[in-house]
Amino acid sequence: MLFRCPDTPSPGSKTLILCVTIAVLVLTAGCTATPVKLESDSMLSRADERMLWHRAGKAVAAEVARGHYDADSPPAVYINRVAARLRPESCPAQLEFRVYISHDPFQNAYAYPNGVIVITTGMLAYLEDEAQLAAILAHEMAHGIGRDALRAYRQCAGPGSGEWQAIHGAPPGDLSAGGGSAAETTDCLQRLVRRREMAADARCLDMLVASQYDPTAAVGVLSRRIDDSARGGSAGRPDAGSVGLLNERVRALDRRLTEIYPGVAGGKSERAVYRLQIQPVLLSNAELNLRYGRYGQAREDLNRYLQVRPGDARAHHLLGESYRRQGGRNRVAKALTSYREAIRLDGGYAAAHKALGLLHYKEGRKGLAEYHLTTALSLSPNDPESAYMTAYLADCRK
Amino acid sequence: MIKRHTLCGILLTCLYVLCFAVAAGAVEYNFSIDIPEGWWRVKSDKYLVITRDGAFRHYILVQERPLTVPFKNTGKLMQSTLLPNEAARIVVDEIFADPNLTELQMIENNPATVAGRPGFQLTFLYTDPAGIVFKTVYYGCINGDHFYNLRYSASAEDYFGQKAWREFSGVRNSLKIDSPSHFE
Repeated sequence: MLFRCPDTPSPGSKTLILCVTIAVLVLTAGCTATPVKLESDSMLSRADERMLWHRAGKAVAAEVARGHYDADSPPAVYINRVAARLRPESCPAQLEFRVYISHDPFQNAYAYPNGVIVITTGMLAYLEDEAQLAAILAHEMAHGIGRDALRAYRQCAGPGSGEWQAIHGAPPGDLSAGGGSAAETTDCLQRLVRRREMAADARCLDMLVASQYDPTAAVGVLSRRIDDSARGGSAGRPDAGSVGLLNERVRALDRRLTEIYPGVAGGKSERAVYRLQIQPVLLSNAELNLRYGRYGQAREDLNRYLQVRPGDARAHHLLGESYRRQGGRNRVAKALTSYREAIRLDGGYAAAHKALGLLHYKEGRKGLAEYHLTTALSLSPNDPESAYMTAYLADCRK
Repeated sequence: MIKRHTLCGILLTCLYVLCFAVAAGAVEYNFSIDIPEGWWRVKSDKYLVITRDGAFRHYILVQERPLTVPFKNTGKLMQSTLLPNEAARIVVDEIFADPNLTELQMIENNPATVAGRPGFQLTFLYTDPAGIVFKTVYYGCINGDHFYNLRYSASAEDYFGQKAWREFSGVRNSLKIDSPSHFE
């Protein structure tokens, strides 16, 4: 929900180019004393903004090429439709929003300066309805409309910095005295982030109301994140510093709702539509959570998925995987039940036969192990672990 | 190119500092290997690392890892009841979750006998932060409360010739678990 880098590292994905810029600048540059005003510049009229867009475009293209970002799957198409509905008429024509889904089980969303918005599978699995999705998207779009990346850039790369001079040439007269310590720069940046988050929230509410979404969804998402943090909930939760800002934002949103939109409540939330559209994301996020050893979160995703599609063999198999991989006697029993259910639903589901065969093998039930491993190998002879299965089968037949 | 040399310089300095800093006393392990002639030990508390031409060119690493210690990148734990393919999956997930390794490519994942115990063998390629392509052959097995692994890692272009491979195979065949040893 910020225009800075993800607050939780995501292996395999590169952080936003802006983060690199800001991180370098925080260490090397001074900080201008007053908030940066952009109103007099039209979008892309200055070299620094064009440079930021260019870098953002390259960074996004690299992530797409690596397969980390997706804008073409049905859930991504649906999310882009929601974003298109939110776009305000006053939005500059140059700013075309495009939303990508990032394959990352941690909850996050961020905006590049050029209108690209990224939302993680972890965040999509976390949200409850379309209004909450709209709140996240509207907030990130507001950062784009407010040109917050450029503000941050200019705030850090003030006239005293080398980066600024490389673009604009040497500053005239007393502007060259803009340098400051790294601590001052960090402090300035934190104040800027706080101001811009508040401004994006305010604009987000306007966009939600104009698109007839329930505006309280914006408060709902933030409040849930705070509650999760207090409960020591899922990984990817905001840290203590972010919680302070989240609390402040909730209070400001509540005030604005009361003062500016006192009669507006109960807009559309589209829970059923959201749950249906986001189904494939829940399944792939469960797989990511399994890979990261986040078994509880994987089960949350799968149980939500199975509420809508109870007859999906793959989901039952993955549920079994979450129990088996976590281990423990009770969980092994639950894993067995889930694998059996997957096979009942689809007798030709090789992965479930393999999993069941491995469990029986481990428990010393060699006859059952032999049956399921043989079935798995006949259904999927090119399984990447076929050499292991062949070795276990040989042991079963001894 | 300058960046790569600078990085190599920093890394070599770190290695020398490490070599001298960890020079205190013998390290005891619950395994043993035969160190090939001409190879020397890089002193480390955590692993047994040996090399012939320097650890930034190639090395063999043997680790005795308690099952209670979670893996760094995924937080996953091994269990004594894991089958070889399950242990291999945990290692593969850990490797793929390592943010320092790019262009990862798993070439082999097969069952193997490690020190007489059922285990696994992985072969993978990766590019290190300096842009050098490395190849690693990784053997692992669980014994009691520990996970043992033996790796040969080297620049993919060099050090995978017959001689290096023969030397590594000799080390692998000499690995004995439950065989206390100490290295000066």
